Formats: sequence, C-alpha cells, structure tokens
Amino acid sequence: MTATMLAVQDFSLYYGQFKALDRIAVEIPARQVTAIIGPSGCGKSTFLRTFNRMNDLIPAVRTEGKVWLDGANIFDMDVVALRRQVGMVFQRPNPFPKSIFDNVAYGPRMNGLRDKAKLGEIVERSLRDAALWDEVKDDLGKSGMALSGGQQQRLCIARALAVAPEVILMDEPASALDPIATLRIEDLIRELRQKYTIVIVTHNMQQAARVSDYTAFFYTDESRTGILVEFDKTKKIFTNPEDKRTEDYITGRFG
Amino acid sequence: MAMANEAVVQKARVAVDTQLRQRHWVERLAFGGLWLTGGVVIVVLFFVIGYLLFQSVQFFVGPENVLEAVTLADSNEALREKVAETPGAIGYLSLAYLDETTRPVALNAVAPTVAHVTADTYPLRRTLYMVTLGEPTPATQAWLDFVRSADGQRLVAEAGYVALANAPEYQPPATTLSGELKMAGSTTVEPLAEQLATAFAQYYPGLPVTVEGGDSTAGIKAVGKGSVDIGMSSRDLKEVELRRYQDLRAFAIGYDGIAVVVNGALPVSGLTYNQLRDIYNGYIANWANVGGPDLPIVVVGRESGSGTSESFEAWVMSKDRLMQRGLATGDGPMWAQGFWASLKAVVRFLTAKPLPGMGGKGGISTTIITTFYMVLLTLAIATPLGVGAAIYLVEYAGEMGSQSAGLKKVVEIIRFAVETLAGVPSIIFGLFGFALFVTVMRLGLSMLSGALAGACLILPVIIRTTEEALLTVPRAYREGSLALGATKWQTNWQVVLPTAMPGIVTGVILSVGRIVSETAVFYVTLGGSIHLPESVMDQGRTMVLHLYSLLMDANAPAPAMGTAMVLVVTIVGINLTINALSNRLTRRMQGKS
Ligand SMILES: Nc1ncnc2c1ncn2[C@@H]1O[C@H](COP(=O)(O)OP(=O)(O)OP(=O)(O)O)[C@@H](O)[C@H]1O
Ligand SMILES: [Mg+2]
Repeated sequence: MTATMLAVQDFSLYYGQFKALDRIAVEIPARQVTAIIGPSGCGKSTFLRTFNRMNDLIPAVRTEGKVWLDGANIFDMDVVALRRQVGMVFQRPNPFPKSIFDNVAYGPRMNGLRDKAKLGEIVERSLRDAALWDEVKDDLGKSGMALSGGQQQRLCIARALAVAPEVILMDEPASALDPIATLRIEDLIRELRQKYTIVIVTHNMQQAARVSDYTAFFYTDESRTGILVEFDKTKKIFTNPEDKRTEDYITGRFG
Repeated sequence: MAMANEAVVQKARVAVDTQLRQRHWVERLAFGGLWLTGGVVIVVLFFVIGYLLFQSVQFFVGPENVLEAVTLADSNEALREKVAETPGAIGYLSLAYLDETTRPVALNAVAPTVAHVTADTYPLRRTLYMVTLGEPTPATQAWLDFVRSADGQRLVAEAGYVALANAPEYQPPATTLSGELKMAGSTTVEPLAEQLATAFAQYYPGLPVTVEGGDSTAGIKAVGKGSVDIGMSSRDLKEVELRRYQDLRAFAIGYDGIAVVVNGALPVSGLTYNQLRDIYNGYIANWANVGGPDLPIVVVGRESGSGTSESFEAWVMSKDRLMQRGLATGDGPMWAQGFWASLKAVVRFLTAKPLPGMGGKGGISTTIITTFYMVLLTLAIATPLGVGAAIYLVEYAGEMGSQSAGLKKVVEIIRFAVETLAGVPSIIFGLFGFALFVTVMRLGLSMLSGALAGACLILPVIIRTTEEALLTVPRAYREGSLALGATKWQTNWQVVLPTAMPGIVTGVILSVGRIVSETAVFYVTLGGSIHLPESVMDQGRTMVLHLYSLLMDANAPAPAMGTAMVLVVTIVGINLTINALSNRLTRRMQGKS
C-alpha cells in the first residue's frame, strides 16, 4: 500500500444537534484517486468539505476526532495555509467574473505573487495540466464566464492547480456537464493522479469505477447519520464487497 | 376525405387559437389597468417635460436682464444730457427728444427717423392709444374723429411723435354735443392730450375735456371700471386687461419711436440688435468689440416703470419679437438667428452668477457648482459609510457571514432601522441635521452641515442597494475564492465587491439624483447664500434651493422655469448614465464585452 496523505481518526461532525457523520476512520493514500460514493444525504459532501475546512463557514458545525494531513492535524493548522495545500473543485463550475488569466492567477496573487512573468508561467502550466491551454491560449483576456460548462470546470481545475496543492477535492465535478465534457474531466483526473492526491465524490458508479483507485462507501439509515461502511481498492469494492449494503448499493438495489 | 380532414384540423386549430387568446377577466382587468397606468405615466411625464420646455423656451427667448451697473436717468432729457457728457455712453430715448447733442445709431442699418417709423421699417416703435369700453359714445366718437384726423395728427407730429399715415381731413361737426369728457392714463400721452383738448374745444365748446395723468395701467383700469370715458395708453393692451374688462377697444392715435443714441464723440453709427442686447446685458463691455475705439461702454437706461424702458426691454432684451421680424442678427434665416440668440442666452444663464436682491435676476452658475460640491461632499461621507455598513451586514453579520443568533438579531434591528429611515420624510432629516450638526456640533449653516444631513438621508439608499447587490453575488464565488486560500478580506475585495459593483454604482448614482433634487434638508442646513462657497464651512445654495427661492421669495417664475429645465435635464442625464453604466458593467461582468 502507498503512503497515506490524509488520515481520518474517529471523526464525527454535528450540524448543531444533528450528527451528520459518525466516527469515520479512513486513510486516504497519496497520489491516488479516492472516490466517495453513497446514497444522497449520507454526508459525502460534508466529509469532503472537512478536508479543507470549508465547514468552518457554517457557524453551527462542531467536530470530534482528528484529521491528519501529511502528519499535521488540520484543525491546528492555519486555515488559509491548509486550503493552499488542499484545493477544491465544486459541483457547479464557478469561475470568477474575471478573465481566464485572472481566474487562474487568482490564487498565486492572493499568496502575494506579483511577478508578471512568473504568473504567466503558472497560468500556462496550470491550463496545460487542466487540458484547457490549447482551447484558450489565444484569448486569455476573455471572461471565464464566456466559456462552455466543461471548459469552465477545467478552468476551475486549473485555478485549483495554480496554487500547487497536495490534494484536490472534487464534489461531483462532472454532474453539471454533458457526457463528452464528463469524459474529458475523467481523463484529466486520471492524468492528475500522477502529481496530486484526489478525492472525488460521485453518484455515478461507472465514473467511480473508471477513475478511482480506492473507493469509500458511505451509508446512512433512518437516523440520517452518515457512516463509512467500507473502504478498499475500487476493484475490490466493485467486484467483491465485504458488506451486504455495499453490494446492494452498487448493484443498484437501493440508493 | 382528405379535404374533410383538413377542415376538421383547421377547425380544431381555430378553437385552440381562440382558447389561447381568451383571457381570464382578472387578466383583462390587469392588462387594462396596465395600459391605463402606463398611459397616464407617459402622459404625465410628457406634460411635465413639455410644459417645462415650453416655459423655459419662453424664458430664454424672452427678455434678458439688463445689467445691474446701468446708469439710470429719470427722464428723456436727463438721459440725453447724461449721454452727451459721458465719454463712451450709450442710451435710448423717445424719438421726440432726438437732437444734435448725441449721435443716433442705426439698428440693423435702419436709422431712427420719423420716415422709418412711419413706414414701420424701424421696429422700436410703440403705439399710443385712446381706449374706450365698448362702442364709443357720440361724445367719445367726436373726440376720436378729431384726434385721428389730419388736424389732430398735425398736433401729434408737432409734439415730436409720429403721426398716423393717411389721416382724413377733419370735418367740422354739424351738431353740438354737451356734457363732459374725462380721460386719464399715460403721462407720455397726457401733454399731447391737453393740446388736443384745447384745439377740440374750438369745435365743441359745450363738451369740456378733462385730462388726468397716472400711467397707462391706471388709465386702462379707470376706463375699464367706467370712472373715465377714455383711457390713455402708451402701450398695447395686455391680455389680462382684455379679459378683465370685456370689450375694451384701443384706437391708435400716433406712434412713438425709441432711438438709440451714443456720445457724440464716438465714431459708431450702427449696431445690430444682438450687439445692442449684449451691451445692455453686460456681455459686451467695450466699444472695440463692436468696431469702435478701445473705450469702456457706459450703459445708460431709464428708471424701471418708465414706459420707454419697458418698451425698449420688451423689444431689444427679448428675442421673440425681433425674431418674428427676422431682425435678431440681420442675416441668416430667422430660425437660426433666434436659435443662436437663445442659445447664447442659455449659456449666459448657465455661466452668470445669480444677482442679489429680490428680483431673481442673473444666472445660476454658482448654484450649479454648489450642487456639484454638495453631491461630491455628501457622497464622500455617505458612500464609504453605506457600503461599509452593507458589507458588514451581509458578509460578516448576515447571510454570508457568521450567522450567529445574536448577530442575526442585531442585523434584523439595523435592517428595520434602515427600512424605516428610507421612509422618513426628508424634512425630518433636515430637522435632525439642523439640531445636531448646525446647532449642537456648532458647524453652523454650512456645506458641511448640509452634507452630513444629506448623508443621513441617502445612507439608507446606499445601504439597501449595496446589500441587494452583495446578496446577488453567488455564494459559489466566495467559496471558490476561500477554497483557493484567499482570506475573507481578499475574497470581499477581489471577488465580491467587483461583482457587486454595478449594483453599488446604481445605488450611488441614485443617491446623486436624491441629492440634486433634495430641497427640505438643505433648506434648513445649507444657509442659502448665492455666493460660491470657498470652504465646507461656507453657506451655499443648490439649484433646487435657488428654484424654491425664485418662486417663493423673488416671485420670479420665469428664471425658475429655466432653472427647473436645467434640473430636469440633469436628472434625465443621471438616469441615462445609470443605464449606460450598469449595462456596461454588467456586460463586462458577464464577459460579453
Ligand atoms: N449547512 C447545513 N446545515 C445543517 N444540515 C446540513 C447542512 N449541510 C448538510 N446538512 C445535512 O447533512 C447531511 C449530509 O449532507 P451532505 O450534503 O453532506 O450529503 P451528501 O451525501 O453530499 O448528499 P448528496 O449526494 O445529495 O449531495 C444531510 O442530512 C443534510 O441535510
Ligand atoms: Mg453532496
């Protein structure tokens, strides 16, 4: 087994009185794609947003347990520093109403980088890594909002890559896209695995099977509290799951 | 078969069409109401703008103010003397008083002579009238017959006035009349009437004539009320007079010309009407500008109330009558002459200072500049506060912020306060500003007090529009920025504010409109001095205040109309700017530019 990037220990999360996640424990391997699957409302997004502490924005959230990033407790880290190491791509493409260049350069600039040449380099490399460079290189001054949905999502990926994170979190990154654009994003994810640790939430079983190395299956019962049922190599989960509920879910018996 | 099918289909189609076209009665009512309301709004708007346009065009075409520094003389002789002894002097007098001590000036190349007045080629001419109420009685008819005959007209010409053309020979009466003939009115006509009365007595010894003075207005009033038989007038009847005293009849008994004269040493023998007007309104101050020597012009006029000055101003200082005769400049088509002359009047109105005193004279330049200052000063105070407050309310305490229960309550209370303030009548803000800034803080009546009170007035507008603008910025932008490791401050500054900018700008420009049109607040905090403020502690007067004062204090509706037009144009301009700016900003945001 490869090295661990994110280690989760006994992690529970509450929205006020409501317990959304119950004692999750998992080790997410470095430079692999880990898919999180499970029925709606089981806490996948909540769990994903834990890694870059986006849940901090919700005042009522309370957590228990520990999450380690490369050996450091993320709850002790400076949240800005954490987010520079753990990037995120959202379900709906959300480029800023700025030019393509300014979108990608946004993160580095916020880190204090002013050097034009350096910024140019970073923008080009990030757009290349996000497989968008060839389509936009002639018009980097165009607004990011003027791109197609698939291009916008790749722009958001480029934007996340530009701050050189260790981990990239993706919450259903292709759910708002058409099949062709979806395939391109999936190809991209497989490419990116070589340099980044990727955690992706998806509702699409085929997508999980196609892009991920590891899969975590989350589940919830009438209590609506999410639990981690099973975590293993994707191949194992999809061919020979340990748990009956996992098998029922991936064979489409419920969900 | 096919035909039948088609018919059925066609029928069904028609049925569907009618069904689609049919409207519920509520819908119909609503549509009707909509059309009605829309129509009313448009009609009202056009009426307001049209009315203002009409009135202000009249104002700009109408008489201009004679400059304040004019030297006044209280009779024709006094004026003639003044012009004769003052180098560089110009004045105007009745044709009857023209002599060699001063130099008469041709206007648009027409010299002031009896011949030109008679032929009506010299327009500075007024008619002298005898006025009766209704059909003349035998006695008044006898008087009119005599006065308008060749005999009577000879006396008119001897008095220095211009006789009527083609007066018939006098036919001495075959019958006698008895009684008494009373007349009163214009002092210009009075001496002439006395001479006429003496001659008239030869023919009608039984009909003594008594002549009293007063002035034209008094004479017309007297004949209208029936206290005299004949009113004497040195001007045309006014419409109000014709309406008040029905069936007034005016009979011309001769003409008087007004000649423009200059000091005899001046080698100026001709002027255009526009030059003359510009000399009298102070626009031209040196003879060099009209082809004479380099010598300051000394402008001499008659005291106000004098019929001569009234006639002179009605002709020369306004453009409409000259325009009708194509005399505004002497060349070019009539509409162009009138247009240029009026445009110059508009420019003068915009660039001249308002004059002190109750006449409402002068331009509005200082009030335009003060309005501009007030807009800047008020915005400088209110914008940072309002935008800052809105950012706090939305981004930190409210929807996009911590959302803790305590803060939520605070935000609710502040919102309620803002909503309430937005509905408070502005005079309350004036009262508050007067009490706090003017009195307690001892800022006095000043631009600073006004701007602070004005800021209180527009703060709710800015806060509300900014809040709304911030709330339309998608949460995803904020999350996207934060997820990239940007701080909250960076996120607000770099993403949220730029995105909300069109809305914020709209709010700010809306408040510009509010400030430009605000009366009550500034009325009690700004003072109202017509002078240009030199510091924020000086008093000032905005355009609206000036308009208010023109109407209420100076009773000068004409310049008020002009000011109102300038205001309306400003407001329309502001609205167009809002549209253009927010369209452009929005397009840029969406990347369509
Ligand atoms: N801001 C919040 N405040 C309170 N409860 C929340 C909040 N966000 C999510 N929840 C609750 O937490 C639970 C998990 O939500 P979450 O969005 O993580 O589910 P999910 O697995 O991502 O679902 P989906 O597949 O539909 O996206 C749900 O019951 C949801 O109602
Ligand atoms: Mg989700």
